[in-house]
This record gives sequence, structure tokens and C-alpha cells, in this order.
Amino acid sequence: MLSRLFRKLTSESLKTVITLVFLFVSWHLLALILQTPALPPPWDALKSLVAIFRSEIASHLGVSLYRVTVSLVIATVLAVPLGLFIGKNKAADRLSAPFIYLTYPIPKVVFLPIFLILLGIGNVSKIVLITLVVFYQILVTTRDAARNLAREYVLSVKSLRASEWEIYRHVYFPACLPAILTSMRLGLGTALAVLFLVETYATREGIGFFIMNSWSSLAYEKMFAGIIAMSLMGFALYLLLDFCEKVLCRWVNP
Amino acid sequence: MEAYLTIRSLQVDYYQNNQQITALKDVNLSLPYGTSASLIGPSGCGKSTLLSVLAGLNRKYSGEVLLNGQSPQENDKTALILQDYGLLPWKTVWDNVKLGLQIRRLPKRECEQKTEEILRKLGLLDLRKRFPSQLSGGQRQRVAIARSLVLEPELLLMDEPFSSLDALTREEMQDLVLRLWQETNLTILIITHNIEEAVFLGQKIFVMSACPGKIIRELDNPLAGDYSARGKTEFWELAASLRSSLRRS
Repeated sequence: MLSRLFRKLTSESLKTVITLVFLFVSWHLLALILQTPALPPPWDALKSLVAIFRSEIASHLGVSLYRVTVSLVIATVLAVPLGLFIGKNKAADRLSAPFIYLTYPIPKVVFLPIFLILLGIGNVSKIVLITLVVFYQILVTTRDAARNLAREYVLSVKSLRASEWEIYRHVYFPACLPAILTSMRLGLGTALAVLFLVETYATREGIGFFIMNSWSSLAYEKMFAGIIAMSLMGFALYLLLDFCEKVLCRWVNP
Repeated sequence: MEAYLTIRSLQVDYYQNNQQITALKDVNLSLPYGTSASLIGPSGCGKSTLLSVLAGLNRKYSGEVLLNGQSPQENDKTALILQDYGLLPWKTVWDNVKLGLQIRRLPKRECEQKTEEILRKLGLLDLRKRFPSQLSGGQRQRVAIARSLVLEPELLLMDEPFSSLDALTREEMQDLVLRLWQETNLTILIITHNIEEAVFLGQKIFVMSACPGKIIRELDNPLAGDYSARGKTEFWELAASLRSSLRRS
């Protein structure tokens, strides 16, 4: 099984390399056509990334990684049990449905100024905002997955005299895990977007700040180095979630 | 012989769109220890409702249901095999079979031992690392049987267990159930649509009518479990007689 997984991974990394080459060639062509300092060729951006990674980017990237990871973890830990509970219990679903329905479409980022006032300009306000956005995505997906779970699985485990907790553990959680991981991957994309936004206000730390700061000082190579660094961070987290899915949900594509 | 299962004037009602529907009415049934019985009836006659009461999944009934003198909730010696086998797709064959033992909180060693034993007995040991989606219909049914038998039940309830199998696999599984029944002295109640299956497997045959479900005929069947019976005239005569009472129901 491991060798098969390995072979699959190598063929996937080959595809990744080809895609990367394609992206960089397109970027290069675009830079040649536009001929503007605002879009430096990829090679210059990469050189700049290597040159300033340790001295300037790494610390900002570390702060950002911390913010986004903590948010994603908190959101998952809160949303998954709640989503499973609501999806399993019809009464809880009926009570919570209007609340979720009404609050879900509100763009949570509009609360940034309020959070800055209430929670200060430190990490807390940023983490709370990212968590809030991602929380909803995971909650709704988990709830729907739990709600649509086929009754036969529950019945067959109930007939073994399973307790409520065992039904969560052996039926609801594993059955909804693929949906949970998918919502986490989608949530990661949103989290990175919100991260960038919160890092452009009232902070001097984080890769978002670094990018905007380079932009305002017209250091475009640095700015693109920051963009590449942020993208790579997102890519790494995405790969991590992908790997979790391959290991934890082997039954989906055995 | 003393009865293992006794049902007296069982009635089950449920509500659908604020309307009371009677699924089962005045059901009386008695099964001695170690008997195999089959229950046939038209679809929607409340057969599955009856099984859910016996398995302790449905507590909203009136009347008396006793398993070895206990109510279905108290008695944990009943195993239920559902129509679609009820195997968990996210667990391997091994983990599916082990689950019941795990839930009964048996020591880990004993769980593993018993799981291995039953898988070997049913010829499933080589498939233990597979997921249900990687098995054929017959293999899945075998796993479902293994999962029930590993708990050493006294009563085995089967809800149309072979309805999605092809004819040959179906006969193979019927033979397997028969063999297991003869070896273990289980009491078996098998619900089926298939008249020949009812005659082949049931020492006692119950015929149910639809809406509300009621037992309209009960007969003793000396042909049950006789491998050679499948071709005999009596076998076909009995099947034909059952067919006509089903038509009338």
C-alpha cells in the first residue's frame, strides 16, 4: 500500500512541476509584454525571495503561519463536534437552522474594525476573525454531511447496543470525515484571503504586511517574493490536508 | 419445547403527517429454542417494524414481547442483519466484525481472537484488510453474518438478507445459514419475499397480511433444511399453497 501511495505521489509531483513551469513561463511572457516595474519577471522575484528570505521574510511568514494554523485548528475543533451534533439531532437542527441561515451570509470581515477595538491590535483579533469565517464553512458542511447520513449505518450499530458516544465515534465522525476535510481545504483558501486582509491593517507583522509594505515603498521584487512565499505557505498547508485525507479516508478510494 | 421468543397481541402505531398509522396489529407468535422460522408477506406489511421491535430499536409498542423471558431492551443476545447488510464502508472487514465485540467492551485480546476465529470459519480471513466496497455481494453478506455470529447471539434476525444476490450466490448463502444454524443451535427468524427461500429455511413459516400487518397463517414445515427437498414435489406444493395464501392476503 505504501509503495502504491509513493508511486502516486511521485506522478503527482511530476504534474506539479510541469504546472509550476507553465505558470512561471506565462508570468515571464506577461512581464515581457507589459514592460512595467510593477510586474518583474519571475526570475528576479525568485532571486529576491532567496536573497531576503532569512533576513526579512521568514519572521513575517512565521507569524502568518501561526495565525492561520491556530485559526484553522480552533475553527475545526469547535465546528466539527457542533456540526455533527446538529446534523444528528433534529431538534437542535430546527432550533439552530434559522440562526445559521441568517448569519452565514454576513461577510464576517466587516467586523474587523470592531474586533480591533474589542480585542486589540494583537494576534487575538486576527485569529478570532479568521476562525469565525472558517468556522461557518466547516460547520455547515459537517452538519449537512451528518444530516444526510444513511440511517441504515446508525441502525446497524445501534442494534449492537452502541452508546450515543460510540455512534458518534464509529458512525458519524468517520462517515463525515471526507466532507470535513474538504471543508477544511476550502476553509484554508478563505483563511488565507482573510489573513491577507487582517494583516494589512494596524499591524507591522505578517506576510500580508510585508507585501503591502513592499508595495508602498515600490520594492516590487520584494513584493513578489512575499507573494510567492505566501502562496508556498498555502500550498504546503493544502498538501498537508491532502495527505491527511489520503491516510484517514482510505476507504473512499481504496 | 419451551418458547424462546413469545409475542402476544403486539401492536405498533406510528405517526406520519399527524396521521396515526397502525403498522402491526394483534401479532401473536411463538418460537421454541433453536427453531428456524421464516416470515413472508407482501411489501409494506410491517415486517421490518417487527424486526426493529425484536432488536430493541423500537420501544413504542404495546403488547408483550419476550425473548427468553426478557424484554428486547434487556436482552442483548439478539443479532440483526439488515437488507443492505449495514456494514460500515469506512471500516475494514476486520474492524467491521470486531466492532460489536469492542462495543461490548471485551478485552482487546479476546476481541482479536474471536474476530480471527469467525473470519476463518466463514472463509473471510484473506479479505480482512479490504473495505466493503471492495467485496462482492456474497462476500459482504458473509461479513454481515460473521459480524452477527461473533457476538454469539441466541436469536438471529435477518431482514431480506439475500434479496440483492444472484440466484447461485443466494443458494450458497442459504446453505451457509442452514449449516450455521445446525452447528450453533441458534433461533433464527428470517424475513423474506422469496417463497422458496421461506420453505427451504423455515421450520415454521408465518404468512403476514398488509396494513395493518397481521399473521394470517402459521404452519410447520418438515421440509426445512433438507438439501434434497429443493427438487421434491412436496416442496413445490407447499410453495404453491403459500403463494395462494399470499395472494389472498
